[in-house]
Amino acid sequence: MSHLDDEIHMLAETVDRYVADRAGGRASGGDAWTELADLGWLLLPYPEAAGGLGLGAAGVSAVMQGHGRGLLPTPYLPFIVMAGGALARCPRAADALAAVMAGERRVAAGFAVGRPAAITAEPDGAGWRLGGTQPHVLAVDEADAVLVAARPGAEGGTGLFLVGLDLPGVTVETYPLPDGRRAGRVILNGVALPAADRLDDGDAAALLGDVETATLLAAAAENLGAMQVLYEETLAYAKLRKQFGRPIGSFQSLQFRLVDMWIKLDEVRSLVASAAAAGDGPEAAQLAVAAWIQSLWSGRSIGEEAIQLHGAIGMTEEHAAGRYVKRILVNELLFGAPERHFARYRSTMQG
Amino acid sequence: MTMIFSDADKAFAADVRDYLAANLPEELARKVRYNQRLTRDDYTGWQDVLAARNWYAVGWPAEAGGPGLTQTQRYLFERAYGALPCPHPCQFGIAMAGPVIFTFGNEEQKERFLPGIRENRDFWCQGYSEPGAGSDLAALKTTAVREGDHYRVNGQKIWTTWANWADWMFCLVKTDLQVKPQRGISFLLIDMRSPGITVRPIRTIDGDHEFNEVFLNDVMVPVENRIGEEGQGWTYAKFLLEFERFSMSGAARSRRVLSEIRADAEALGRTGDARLAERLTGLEIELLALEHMELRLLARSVGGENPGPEASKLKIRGTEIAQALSRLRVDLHAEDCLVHSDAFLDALEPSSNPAAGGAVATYLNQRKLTIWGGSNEVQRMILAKQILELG
Ligand SMILES: Cc1cc2nc3c(=O)[nH]c(=O)nc-3n(C[C@H](O)[C@H](O)[C@H](O)COP(=O)(O)OP(=O)(O)OC[C@H]3O[C@@H](n4cnc5c(N)ncnc54)[C@H](O)[C@@H]3O)c2cc1C
Repeated sequence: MSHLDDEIHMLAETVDRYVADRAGGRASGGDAWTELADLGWLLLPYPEAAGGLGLGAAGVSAVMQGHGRGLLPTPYLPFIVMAGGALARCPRAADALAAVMAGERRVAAGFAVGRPAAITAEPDGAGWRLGGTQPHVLAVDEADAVLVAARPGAEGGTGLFLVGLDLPGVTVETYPLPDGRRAGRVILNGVALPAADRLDDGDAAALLGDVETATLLAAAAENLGAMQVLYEETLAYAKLRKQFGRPIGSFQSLQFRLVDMWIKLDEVRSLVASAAAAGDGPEAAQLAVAAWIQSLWSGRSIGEEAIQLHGAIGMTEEHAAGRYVKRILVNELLFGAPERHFARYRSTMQG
Repeated sequence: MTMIFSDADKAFAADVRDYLAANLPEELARKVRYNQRLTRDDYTGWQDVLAARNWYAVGWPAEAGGPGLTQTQRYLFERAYGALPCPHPCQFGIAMAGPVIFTFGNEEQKERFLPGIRENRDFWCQGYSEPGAGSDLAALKTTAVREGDHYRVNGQKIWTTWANWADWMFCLVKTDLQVKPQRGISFLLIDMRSPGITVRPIRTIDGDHEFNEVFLNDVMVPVENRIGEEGQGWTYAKFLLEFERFSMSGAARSRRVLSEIRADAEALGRTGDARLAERLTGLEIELLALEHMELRLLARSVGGENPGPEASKLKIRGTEIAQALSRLRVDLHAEDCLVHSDAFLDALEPSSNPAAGGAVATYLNQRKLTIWGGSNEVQRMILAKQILELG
């Protein structure tokens, strides 16, 4: 095992313990984000040169699987993978990234995967004036700033702007998502920014493309964690629940369906593991997009089967199955259904 | 296979359509269209509209005070009904308690209970399932011990839809613990206001309150509330299963939902989306196959044949298609489904895209279709054994 493998292995164990503690109600009771900072998870994906731990996609994958398994509410994906990931790729964002890594600044992601920028930026003296509405910004109610992608005036391309949520002209309307997490619309009405708050190097399109790929892999890892629980719970229930004097898992028709769940889970696990291990290699993007798409195919099917095989109890709000199904579904609605990523997948195979 | 409908049948269908369309309140139609939650008053108010034409107990024979429709008219009624956004009427009285009472009850029971069901005065619930008895219903444990002219009932029912609204519950109980499970079961009608009954809500996955736990603690039920003979409850329950399966395809309703999704796609300017068009066309063809399976079965039963357990195929395909449609609606509205609002679902607040507002809740809620009314696995077991004769 390489040094990196060792570190990932240890990280995965820490994640397991953290998730188990949360499930057992033994959380510290303090601020969850501070806990993640104390565990070092806020700096874990970023390059060592930037002050991070350099664990990259493999580290993110371990943390995100934990988020899926434990249905953790912490906004690791939008704050660290999306906004932080973009900051880490902007040469002029070192200070902002340092503040994010220290847990001092909480920056939400004001850009959507696979959608053109919704905000416009007009030159205004030496600075910029931003306008427009960014929908569905995850966990914006926990953030103090939002990193928005905007189309800058006549220039073309995409700019990245760091917008404090307390600036004049910024309005945030928050609402619950179907899985209980929260998001919000960020409405920018002529928000004035100094030139220094534009962080990209002229065009952020390429770096945002990379961030989107990393986001899809992280979300696939979260889905993997969630469907792992769905599978395990259903398997355990099939062994426990008796009807007609036998465990329902002894009926062959249900055995076959559980086997299919297991295979579908393994397909995602295999793609996520390979994508996470691929680093920046040539296959990394292709595997990441494939992992995301497969996580939705498998996730839908495993989720629906989990409810079905539990019978009526799977239909209750109290039972965990529904919460996991909703998490995977909301991830799909946030980051895009399989078909929306086919073209992206094909583009990763060119050249 | 197509059915040729007589002029009289066509006139009947037109009458149904016109009456429903003229009397369906706009606000109720909107709630159904947008999958918002209905209140007890929504249901009973609408059922009064049906009862005014004696179409609430629409499947009942004339001897039981029903409209005495032919099989063909029943089919045409369902088709006209499903085409409009009418609430799905509460079935437990009209489709379950009623038929058992008019088939197996005595004269006194018929007089006492049937008018209240038919005229939508009593709200009924079904007390079959228990924590340990779901697909294996015969494993139920609730006991009814005879004490003079009463039964003393103890036990627990679960998943009891609308027990919280009900005046009456028809219930399967054990009256004999010594014999083979199926033979010791009796069919009791229990007044929900009896002392010793506790109803506890269970929320469904979409946050709604449909079903409940019902605890029965020394509930005294008069012997005259037993339908038929002691120990014959299982036979009556099985009779009902066959009665019920035929009406479970939901094809007409699915056709309406499909056209609603099409209209939404047009409103969203998505008519040029080839993938969406393919899915809509594919589902329409699946639905057409279901409709024609149903028509063929209908033609056979009009010809005097009892289709019996074969109707299970309609439940299987009908529920699968309804679920696929609920998924398609989520896929169509995609990120517009992200805003969750209980106030919208309870029709207390508008939404900028109401078609999307209820889409996720409906997708989740419709998972029940393949679980209840005899799960689709149980339906397949029935077909395997009784139609394919696989032992
Ligand atoms: C929304 C809703 C409303 C309901 N309302 C009512 C009501 O009003 N009154 C009432 O009495 N009941 C009601 N039910 C209960 C319903 O009838 C039961 O859920 C159903 O009978 C299945 O039982 P179960 O939930 O205990 O699942 P189980 O019987 O435990 O089954 C679990 C899984 O195993 C499968 N299975 C079981 N046996 C076999 C086998 N031999 N071979 C293959 N697969 C098998 C089932 O299909 C299911 O997928 C309701 C259920 C729901 C979901």
